[in-house]
Amino acid sequence: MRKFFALMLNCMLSSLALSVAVCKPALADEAPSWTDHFKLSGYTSAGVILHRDQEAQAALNEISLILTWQNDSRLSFFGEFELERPLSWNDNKKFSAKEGHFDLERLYVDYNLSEKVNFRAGRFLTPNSRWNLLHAAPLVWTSSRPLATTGLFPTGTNGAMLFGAIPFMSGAFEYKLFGELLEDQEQDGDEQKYEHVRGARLSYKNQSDIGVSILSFSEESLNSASYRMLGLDFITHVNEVEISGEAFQRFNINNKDGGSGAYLQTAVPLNSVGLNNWYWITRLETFQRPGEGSAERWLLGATWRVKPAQLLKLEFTGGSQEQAESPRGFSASFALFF
Amino acid sequence: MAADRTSIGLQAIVVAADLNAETLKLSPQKLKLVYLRKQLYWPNGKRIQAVNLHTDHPLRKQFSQAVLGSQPAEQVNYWNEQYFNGVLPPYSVKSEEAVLRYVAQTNGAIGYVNACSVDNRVQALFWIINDQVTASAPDNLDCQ
Repeated sequence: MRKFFALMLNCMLSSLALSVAVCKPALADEAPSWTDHFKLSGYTSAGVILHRDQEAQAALNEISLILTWQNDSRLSFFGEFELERPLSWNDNKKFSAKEGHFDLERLYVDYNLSEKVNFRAGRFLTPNSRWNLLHAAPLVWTSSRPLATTGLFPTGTNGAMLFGAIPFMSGAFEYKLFGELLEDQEQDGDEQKYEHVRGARLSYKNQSDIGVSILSFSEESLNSASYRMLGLDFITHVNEVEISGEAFQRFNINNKDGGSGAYLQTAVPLNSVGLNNWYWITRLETFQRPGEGSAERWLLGATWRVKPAQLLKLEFTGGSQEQAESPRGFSASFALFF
Repeated sequence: MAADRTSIGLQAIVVAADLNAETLKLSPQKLKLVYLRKQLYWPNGKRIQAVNLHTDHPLRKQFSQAVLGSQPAEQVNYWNEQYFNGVLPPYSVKSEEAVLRYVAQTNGAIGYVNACSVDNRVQALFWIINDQVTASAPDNLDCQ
């Protein structure tokens, strides 16, 4: 599926480039062509990790390109192409581009069916976790991602979704109903593959955001297992302190524990001690999968919002068990939108 | 010129748009969704073209507090998140006159200006009085 989408996007980009190249300059009273409605943006991040019990690493973590198209019609297009770890370095190998690879993060079209109902088709982020939906490096306070948001459910889905927002009191309910139509055709490294994904998310957004999600899916493996999962997430502010958290509980077909995870994070502004735009970050995590035992993490860090779309992150992570997604030790990174 | 008008009537801001069957269906709650770019279309399927004043304009600050419940500077995280999803904030202009021109000349547009700045190019849709959004015009609008 990702290959198909990548080919499709490649064709679109090629035709877009060609049309831009051959078109004559637009006159002031000329109606804009369909290519004028494309917008290109993106984000990138780079960082170093001083592992507690491994060699030090440095990498350009990703270069992510976001391409959107929308005109005055009900139809719009969104694509995100990511070049992951295009450049990396460690104590032995020095600089290397061998770890670099393309990943199709998102590629979909949206159609506005009515005021409160929109239809999406393509590849999108599975909307059952706040962190998963907003995982871009310039959007999150830490370099590492909570284990619970990567190891328990599919982070992307190829399928269809109905979604919308309905005003309620001073806020709005947002809903998402989604289902997989085509399973992933490729596997990144030892990434877990999933199938038969379907679920729903309901959130209420106001001064605080609260979300609840349900998801059912199967893990593709020798002992293919089916799960249902309940997820809860929130973010709120108390005296300018940002408090956020998520919790997930999976159940197997016998309604027994099929794995769980949670995190709680605070971001405290340090303006009061003269460090403008610095935030003190604290996070506690727990994570458990069947047959793999459990892991705990604690994180202490400081993040500087250099500009509204630029973050410098310094953090120290500890806890039990080594996990590739959440290495123990010191890490620093810089992230920005462009 | 615009600054003078602004200083006259900060008590009342008018949300201006073409009055028609579509715009009349807009409620204050939906107005918030429009300026958060959560509602992108009028009921007839035409795209809503919302326009903002720049972030330092006093009317922008008052509108933002009354309609969105926070100041523009407090919305950095929200707009960064939207940017990640390909959604840009409403188009921003520097003056009330620019808002009036944009609303008058752009199909499906909506904006806001000082109540005393409204002329026959646009029509009042909502009024913001003491940080409350209402469809009722104030009784004692003094533009002298």
